[in-house]
Amino acid sequence: MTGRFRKLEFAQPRADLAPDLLGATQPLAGTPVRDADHFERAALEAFQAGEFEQALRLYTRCLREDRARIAAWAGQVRMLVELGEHAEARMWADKALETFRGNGELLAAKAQACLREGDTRTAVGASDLAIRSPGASPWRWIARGEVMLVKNRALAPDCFDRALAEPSAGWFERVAIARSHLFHARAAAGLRYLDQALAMQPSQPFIWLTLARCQEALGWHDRALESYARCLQLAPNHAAAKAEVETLTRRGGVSKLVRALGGRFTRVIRR
Amino acid sequence: MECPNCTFRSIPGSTVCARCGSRLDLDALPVEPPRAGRGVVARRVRPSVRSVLFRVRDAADDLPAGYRALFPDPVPPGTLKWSLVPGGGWRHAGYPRFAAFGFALWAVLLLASFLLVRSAAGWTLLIAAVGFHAFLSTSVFARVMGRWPIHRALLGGVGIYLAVIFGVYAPGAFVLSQVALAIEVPAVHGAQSGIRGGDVVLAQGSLLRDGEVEAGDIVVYRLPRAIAGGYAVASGLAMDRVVGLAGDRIEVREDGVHRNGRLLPPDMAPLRGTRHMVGLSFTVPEENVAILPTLQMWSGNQGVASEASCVPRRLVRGRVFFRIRPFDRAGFLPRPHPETTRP
Repeated sequence: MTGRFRKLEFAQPRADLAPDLLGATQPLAGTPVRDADHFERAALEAFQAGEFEQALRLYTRCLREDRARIAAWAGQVRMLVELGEHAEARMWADKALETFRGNGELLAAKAQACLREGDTRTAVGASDLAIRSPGASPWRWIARGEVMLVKNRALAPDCFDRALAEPSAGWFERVAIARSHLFHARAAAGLRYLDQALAMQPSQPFIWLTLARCQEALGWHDRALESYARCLQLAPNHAAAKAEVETLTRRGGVSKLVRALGGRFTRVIRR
Repeated sequence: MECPNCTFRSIPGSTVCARCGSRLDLDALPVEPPRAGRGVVARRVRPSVRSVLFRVRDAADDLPAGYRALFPDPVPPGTLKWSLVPGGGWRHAGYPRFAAFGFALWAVLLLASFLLVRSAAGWTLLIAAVGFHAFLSTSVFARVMGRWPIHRALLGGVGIYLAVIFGVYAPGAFVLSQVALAIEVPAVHGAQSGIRGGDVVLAQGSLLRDGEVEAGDIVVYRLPRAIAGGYAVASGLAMDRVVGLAGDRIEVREDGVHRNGRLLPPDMAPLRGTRHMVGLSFTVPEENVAILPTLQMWSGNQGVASEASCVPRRLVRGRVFFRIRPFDRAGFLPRPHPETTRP
């Protein structure tokens, strides 16, 4: 800086002022504060929009701000599960559990990862521990219900109802339950939860997207196309919905039949 | 220092929560999660394989408790070492009857594979014997490994299997090849002292040799990789009869092979025909034996044929001494009479 600018009256650090009152450390008025809360909220929004990759990045960003935020660790594991990277999700859950021992949210996420990877035994153990650990959340019961979908189907609806009875349960938890059903080839049972979610939030494109996928899995291609159209109406730039519509319209009758039969075959195998 | 997991307030400076054991120094903690590769193997193959393995393990878990009780738990120290002997691990773990049954079954499989050696059934039985040995070795640890993570159990099983193969069978195969070698007799020309094409015979290895080979002995020898004169010969093992020793004069005429001027009887002649070598005449050099080449490619090139007929003694592996198959003619092969071998 040249000499003539040294006498300008910029905000200089002053010893008699408290640090939080200093202009240099204060953001400008109207600028959103980019702290851990901000990133966690943004990650949840991305999750609720079905943008799992973006949500994963935001959870990571949130953890860079605050590594003690367990919800973000659990969120990372859930995003890896949703992205189909189950082995990595399990590894990351174990890593997080080394740091936060016996945390119920992490255990529930681990149970989901193990179950989708095929390791039912570990999933049951993790889910048991998640339910027993202090605190409560719908995700623990959703994970429990998903485990029961594989182990003892009759108990699964009770677990999902228990999850929805939690005060924090909303439309998104219902969609998550429907997605669990969809993963385990029980799309018909998942439709009930999607109807409830639509009754609560009909303007959420992610509900329509999940509904369309369930309908497609059941072989109802016309209804699925309608639901995709509804999703695109609400979110015209939804990449996943666009891709699904394109695939579905391009697919021939035989292919549709094979896919529908394949879904039923998968279900028989998983039984 | 408030624990983010259980909200317990530990003493300032603590690195671990005094109540739940969670870490409190989180600054160095990596926050980037691991990601799966983009390839088909990482996205499709590996998860499918892991899923199948988990399903197999879960299916084994669902077996009634009575079946699980069949497997020892825990296993005593030294079981792994004893497992190199078929059934040895089970015996060491306190199951002598099962060990005896396992050993007997393994021995039957191995004997059957020996009797059917050089056939597809023989190879199948040998693989079954090796596999059964590996099964006996790994099954002792079934319940112990059932508690391990799936990848560790898988690696443990594969490790035991490899130890069985490379610790027992690879050295065993080498030693056996030095004792005796099973070989199938190629097509034989004319009447040949009981030997027929397709017979499976045993030839002496270096550990079983009983003196030098004599004229009239059927031997297994190593073909040299190449012969002078630009003619290449496939390297490998061959089998034929020794028709002359060092210093002998060998002549091939229309009526047969002459050794030092005397016609060799039919049961002393080479295994295959010599019509394509009529006119061949040579003296066997020192440290060599005469084994007439049986390759048609030598026809018309006497120089190369005589060179190929002189096989250095060091290339002769051993005498054929035992016939395994056909079973009705199994037994030791007679050696040629000394009077006919020393003209």
